[in-house]
Amino acid sequence: MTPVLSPQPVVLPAAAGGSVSMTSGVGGPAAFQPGIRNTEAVGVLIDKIVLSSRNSAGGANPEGPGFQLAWLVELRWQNELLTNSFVPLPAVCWPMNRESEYFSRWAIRLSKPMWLEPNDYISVTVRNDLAVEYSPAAYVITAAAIGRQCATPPADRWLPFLSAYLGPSYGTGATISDQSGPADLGNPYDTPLFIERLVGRFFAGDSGGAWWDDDPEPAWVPYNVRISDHRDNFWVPTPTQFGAVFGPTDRSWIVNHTLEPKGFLRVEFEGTANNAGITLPQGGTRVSRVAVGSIGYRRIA
Amino acid sequence: MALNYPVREPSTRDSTPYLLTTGTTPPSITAPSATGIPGAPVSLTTRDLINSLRTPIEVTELHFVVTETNVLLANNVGWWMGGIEVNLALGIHQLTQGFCPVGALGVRREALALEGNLSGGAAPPIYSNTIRWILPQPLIVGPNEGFSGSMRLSPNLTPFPTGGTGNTVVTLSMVARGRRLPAGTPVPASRAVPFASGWIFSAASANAPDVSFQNVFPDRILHVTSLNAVPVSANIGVDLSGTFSINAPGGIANGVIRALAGALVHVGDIFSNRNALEEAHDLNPGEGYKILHGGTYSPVAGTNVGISVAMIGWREE
Repeated sequence: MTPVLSPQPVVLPAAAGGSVSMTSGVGGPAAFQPGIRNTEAVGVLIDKIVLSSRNSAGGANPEGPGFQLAWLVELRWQNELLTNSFVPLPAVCWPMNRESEYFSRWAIRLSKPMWLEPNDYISVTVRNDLAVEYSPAAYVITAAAIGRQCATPPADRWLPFLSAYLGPSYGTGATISDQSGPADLGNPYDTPLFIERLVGRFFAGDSGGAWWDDDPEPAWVPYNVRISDHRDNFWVPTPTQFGAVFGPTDRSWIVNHTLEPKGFLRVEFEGTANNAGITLPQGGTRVSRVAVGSIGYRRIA
Repeated sequence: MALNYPVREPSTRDSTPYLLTTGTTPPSITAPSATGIPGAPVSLTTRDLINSLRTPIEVTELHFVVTETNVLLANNVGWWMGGIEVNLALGIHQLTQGFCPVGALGVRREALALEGNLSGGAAPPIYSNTIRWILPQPLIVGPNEGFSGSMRLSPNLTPFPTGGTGNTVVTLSMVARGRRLPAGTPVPASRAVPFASGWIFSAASANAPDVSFQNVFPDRILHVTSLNAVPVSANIGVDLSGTFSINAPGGIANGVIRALAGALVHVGDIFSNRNALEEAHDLNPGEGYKILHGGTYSPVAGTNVGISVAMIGWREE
């Protein structure tokens, strides 16, 4: 009897040494050129793409807490965008569980594996639009794709598509009132887009422009959210606590929904901000904001 | 035994994700400062928890967010995160047997411990616990049908003894998460309805130290899918850190009560992964589990810690 072997696991590091440096402060874009290349002799099914940062100077905060919201990432494959232009990295990542998710290591888990033929690559570009909390420091960003060997293209080929909407920031007592636009969480294609899950992220910040993780902070409590689609089908008809809509541990809502061509989701935020529970490492005034991302995929020929 | 229902494939836009919710002003209760006072139940019922669509909704999980505000740090008033219990029904179908602690409805990583900052800002900060009850079977909610019920503070956990002002406000948000079914989908004549019964064991338990979780339905089998236990604290709610240990429950055979163990066993040994059952277990009418309560609570002296236990299953209605 011939044994059946499971596919060989594969890790594809980004080219050019696998890292790009970004100094603190607003900067970039910093691109991995030519990106994550399949250096295997056979095709690879990619299950997730991981990006990490570390403080190149070492020190007390080698992994740079406060860095994540600054990360905007754009992924491309050939002429196809895999992200809706630049998207906040945390908004398209969901933690498997809280313990394993470290501040500055983020995994984009694809809803459907993406097949990459030998020598083909995914372009990764990172941009820093916001101030880094612990400055001055130079951060080294690394990227890799994790998957398994697959010699022949699968019968159904899928491309991921990630999009996100980042709301504005609010100080304590401010009236939260905002909604996403058609281009934020939409299907720009002429084919159906399958949305596996929505990710809800809360960000705490200070008035100096630094933003950091959402996990230990309860200031999302005053944020209420409604969600509907372009046909005014309500998903969340009544404004509901942000933390109740998105899961407690995976920060997401598995929706398994097909968005028709040119369709979109509308996310509305409301409430009165209360940032009293936010701890400020470096002083300033407490602010907060939320983001909603969608993780999905579409079929290609 | 339909314990493993099919995983839904990505559905069409006719099957839209949908939430029923307690809304922006969820019910709240002001925690008393004295010990052993359960507090009067507060209604959870709102029209937003009623399916106002013309099609059924398939609910797969319930979320509970327990939030505390107005916590005065200077007084270190007793908090009530772990003592929230709910009494839930869907129409005429009871979903809980009386009041059931929400902390035990989520297992493993479905319960999120304290979120908040104990040394927070000048203003009283906010604290919250989130618990996700993944229903053992999807629950079909017909048009004009809805969730109803009430919340209360358990009599079995007491405020932290140095507290005193009793002005902590505890709020409970509930969300029923699912999807609306395609137009024209009828409510099935027979459907699976989840059921949970629970108890908070603590050194301050005012009632009997042994508690039975039984199939209370006289004419149907209860399919038990999990028997959950999580440490809870009146102060911080669901405690995943495991910083205190409790030498507690065992179990005995007693008539139709099935044994879990023959002697006192450390709670962590029974409820590994927070769930004592490796497989689903059917209970005939009147059958159940008995849990003994003994041992000591450590290292926290006093009465503000305990074990929240819930038996979760479903039956056909």
